[in-house]
Amino acid sequence: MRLLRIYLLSGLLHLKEHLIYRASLLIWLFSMLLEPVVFMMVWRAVALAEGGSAGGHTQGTLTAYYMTMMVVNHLTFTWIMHEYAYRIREGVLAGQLLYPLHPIHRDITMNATYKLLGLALLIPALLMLGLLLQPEFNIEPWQVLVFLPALALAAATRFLMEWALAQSAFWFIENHSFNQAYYVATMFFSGRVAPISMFPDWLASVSRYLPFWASVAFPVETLLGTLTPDEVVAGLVVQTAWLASFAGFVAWIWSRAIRRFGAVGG
Amino acid sequence: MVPAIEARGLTKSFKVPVRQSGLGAAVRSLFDRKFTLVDAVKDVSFTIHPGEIVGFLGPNGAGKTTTLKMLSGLLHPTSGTATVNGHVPWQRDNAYLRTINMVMGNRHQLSWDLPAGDTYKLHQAIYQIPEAEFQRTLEELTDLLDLRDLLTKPVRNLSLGERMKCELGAALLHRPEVMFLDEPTLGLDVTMQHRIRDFVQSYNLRHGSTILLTSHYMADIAALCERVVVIHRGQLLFDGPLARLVARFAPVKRLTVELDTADADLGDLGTLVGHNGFTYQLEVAKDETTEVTSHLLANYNLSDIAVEDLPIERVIEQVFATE
Repeated sequence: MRLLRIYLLSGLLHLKEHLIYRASLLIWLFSMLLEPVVFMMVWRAVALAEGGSAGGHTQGTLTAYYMTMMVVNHLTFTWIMHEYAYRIREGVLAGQLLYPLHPIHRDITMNATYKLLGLALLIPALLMLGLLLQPEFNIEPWQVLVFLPALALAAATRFLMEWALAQSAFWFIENHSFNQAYYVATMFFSGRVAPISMFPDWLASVSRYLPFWASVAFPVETLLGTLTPDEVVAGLVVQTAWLASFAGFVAWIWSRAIRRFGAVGG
Repeated sequence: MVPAIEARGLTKSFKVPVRQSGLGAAVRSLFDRKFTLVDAVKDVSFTIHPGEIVGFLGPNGAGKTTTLKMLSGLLHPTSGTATVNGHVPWQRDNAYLRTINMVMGNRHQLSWDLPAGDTYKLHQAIYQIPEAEFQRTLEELTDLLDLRDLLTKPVRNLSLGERMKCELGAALLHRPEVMFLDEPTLGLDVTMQHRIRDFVQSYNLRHGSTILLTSHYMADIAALCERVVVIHRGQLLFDGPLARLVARFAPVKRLTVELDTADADLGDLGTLVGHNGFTYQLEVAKDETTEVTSHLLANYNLSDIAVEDLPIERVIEQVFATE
């Protein structure tokens, strides 16, 4: 009950903060939404040049894939690891540590409110793309039913994975290189550059065991019906395993990080 | 009486990389990194009883803030023990964090873009302060700190002093039993320093909170703290009443005399530390003060004479100079 009240008030606070910098918010959101549109246009052009399909995807299914990817990526991404070193250096974290509340809760609400605001731009963008590019969705009711928990698991997994990565700032003053390495891996293995089904079979099989796939591409593929029911069940197991691993890892790394904390920034 | 704060042998060492200047040294450090251990705080022990306001003094880098951060649970010590309100601070139990707070003059906890009142509501939820108690405390803090017009303005639009008042308000909403104030008057003008000082004093009197305060403004220490703990290069130098610190480290008094001549030679009576026209400032050994005063009265035409202790800043300078 206490946590719920904190989430509500903190969410409201972050909502007000986000709304103060409206132009900045719009630019961030726009660039965020632009990424899948760019890859969609590239692959649509390839499909057109190849006579209507690329790697088994038509222009219509590619559009559906990237529209779904746009939703899933928006609802699962975080930016915590990019600002964690700053928080340590500038003493922001020291201030947060004085509260009888784990700092992760602040990140959860900040993230959630940003997602909520993002819908204001995401929904019109989806409607526009839907009208202009005629996506081909073949969605069965069961796929929608599984998509929702898969999306929730993906968001939780990606949040914890990126929060754990952010903790590297306790050990390395300059951790942008880690973030960059992670970004490259996640771009490729989460199906954002190209659908995993376009990879060579062996690479696609390996990718489907990785957390990048579990935290982004899996819900997309589930909704679009590119996975068999057995593959969906296997995907949920992979997701749950990663979520549990990252939850344990976050608890462990946080207990180590807090001992290491130098509070040099203030 | 159970102590509010008890530190025993508190030590914090930091591993610091050692690098020579030059490209060669930079390349060598890739293969052979050297570190040295720096003791920021070394074997510091003290006890503070509930309701005390204690001044924590030391030059920059003495280890004051590091000690406060260990006591507030932000840092793990390398060795030693401490309890605050019966809790080990660095175990960071929520029950412990509810009973303390720390205000840092150069850091803020309030949301920069929103009015302080918004953050206060969040604090209410975090610290689980019942609505009636929250309103009562807020009313009291608003009166004491004169916050009424400030709580609805975005924090970034407040002056430094106004911001510090709002920060103090935020820090005290849950009525912490122990407060760590790290340079709370940093950068504030004299009037605002005075107001913050008055507030800290009246808050302590009303609620009996224990306060450990660091400040580079000796006026803060002199006005608020009967007792001071002095730390230098990480080690404890002195723990006791401020008056005893002055007596121990300032064995001289300052005499300011105004004569009818600008050419008097007073160098034999003590150390002449100032001379401006007809006004002379002498520092004289305490046990010679009466004798020197009598000599001046007998041999010169005095328009005025004042005998004072050394300013506390000078005493502190002497403390660190003698170590």
